[in-house]
Amino acid sequence: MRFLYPLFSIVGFILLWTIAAFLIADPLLPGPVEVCSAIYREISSGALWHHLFITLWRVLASFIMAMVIGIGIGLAMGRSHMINGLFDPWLVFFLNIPALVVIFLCYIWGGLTEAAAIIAVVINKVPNVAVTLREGTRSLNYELEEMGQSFRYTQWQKFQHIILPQLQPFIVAAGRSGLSLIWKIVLVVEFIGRSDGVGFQLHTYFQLFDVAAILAYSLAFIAVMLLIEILIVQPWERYATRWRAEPA
Amino acid sequence: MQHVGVQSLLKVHIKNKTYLGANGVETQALKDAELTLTENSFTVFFGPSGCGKSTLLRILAGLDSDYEGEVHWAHPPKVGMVFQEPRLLPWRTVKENILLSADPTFSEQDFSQLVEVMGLTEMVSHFPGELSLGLSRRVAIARAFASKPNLLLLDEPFVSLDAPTAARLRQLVRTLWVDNPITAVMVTHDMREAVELGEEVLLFTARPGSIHDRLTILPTDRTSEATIEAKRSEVKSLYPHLFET
Ligand SMILES: Nc1ncnc2c1ncn2[C@@H]1O[C@H](COP(=O)(O)OP(=O)(O)O)[C@@H](O)[C@H]1O
Ligand SMILES: [Mg+2]
Repeated sequence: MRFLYPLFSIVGFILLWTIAAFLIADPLLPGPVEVCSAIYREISSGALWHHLFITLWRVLASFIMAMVIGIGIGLAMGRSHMINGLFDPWLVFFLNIPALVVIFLCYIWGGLTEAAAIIAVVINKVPNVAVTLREGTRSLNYELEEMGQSFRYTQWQKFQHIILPQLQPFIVAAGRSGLSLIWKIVLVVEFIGRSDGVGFQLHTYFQLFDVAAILAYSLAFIAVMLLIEILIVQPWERYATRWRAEPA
Repeated sequence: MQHVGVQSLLKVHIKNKTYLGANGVETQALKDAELTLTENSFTVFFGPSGCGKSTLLRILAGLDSDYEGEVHWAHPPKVGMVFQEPRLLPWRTVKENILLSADPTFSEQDFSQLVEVMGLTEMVSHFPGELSLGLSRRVAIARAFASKPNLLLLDEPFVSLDAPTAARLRQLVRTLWVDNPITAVMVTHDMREAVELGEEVLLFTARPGSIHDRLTILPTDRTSEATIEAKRSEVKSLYPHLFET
């Protein structure tokens, strides 16, 4: 039954959507059939794969950069009062600056380039990662670190076996919210200043008022992100938390 | 006995060790605590809870250097520590926990042998969360052995083990100490443990802790239940404060 309810909900929605589209009969509210044929059209022309792939590449590049930089800053802030004091005002600043302003400034100062686009996304995401990881670092277990010290663990062993496993839930949380935030920002960045990618396509079809194509690209991208969640994020999380399993 | 020439490994004089609690309240844990450890000796810290035994042990382990006083080593020790809590890595298996702390010369065969004697063979691929406290303590002891220390520090290592297991592990610690050039320090508040293992028992005062007397345990003291009990009553009548628990 647990699986039936969501299924029921989705099928119900599609039915409602079909009926509404049929009754209103306006190209600005295309039905599921029109959206599917738009997806099919974009796939067979190769455009969907092309733009999807480019957007995915941007998401991945900025995701990795934002995570690495954010984890580094968060760790340093959680460990050192001095670094925390130095960075904290800027963290608050960058947490509250509108994403759009960062994007504009990056394009103005960096030109309409790939690097400027990626940096804009990274700047938008780093503060959230840093805040989450600072919390994680502050909650580190001191007794285990002492244990590692007494048994002469190397710095790398301490990081790998004592610190990282404790930060793992925080990294997963930052990564989860990071991925969903980043792909939305990447679309905006593409919308404003790139000539390829899903965001650029949405821009084009927005000017044409082609709602079916807009929905086609959105659905395709959501599907890809869902696949990443199911095929990569969840299995990794299960693997990393297997020690939490209850005694058999 | 294993003593070839008595050399001192360590001289300690802690004039003052004070903790600053989270609420700003200061607790003086140690005051003028003095001791000398001779090479390859087995020393027991005996005293009521809260008198600073763990604190002194942590200082010997080099984990705390925030004190007034001096600690002089004849040579830097290689510490193997059994903490009062097991302190295992919950996200690593029993085997990984032991091997991560093991000496480089500790072989796969040494490992099988060690877990066999410790009664942990069935458990090596389990995670600590799946073990009882008693089993976790055994892993913690195995981990300290695997690190091949020359200074073994044991902080109430046999608490909450069932009696037969505790007796077996005491025997193991004793064998390890007899067979290897190891200096051992054990914290306990159980006189049987103290007499069974120690050569010298240091009796602590209540907090702020210092060492106000020492008992020398002769090998013959360990031989029978009756002599152990006699030792216990003797200490108890002299220092009743050591036994309030
Ligand atoms: N980290 C700490 N912060 C504040 N007080 C502490 C800390 N560790 C120990 N103490 C206090 O110092 C005293 C001695 O503690 P401890 O050495 O653990 O005693 P024992 O091992 O003899 O039971 C106790 O009163 C304890 O409350
Ligand atoms: Mg203690």
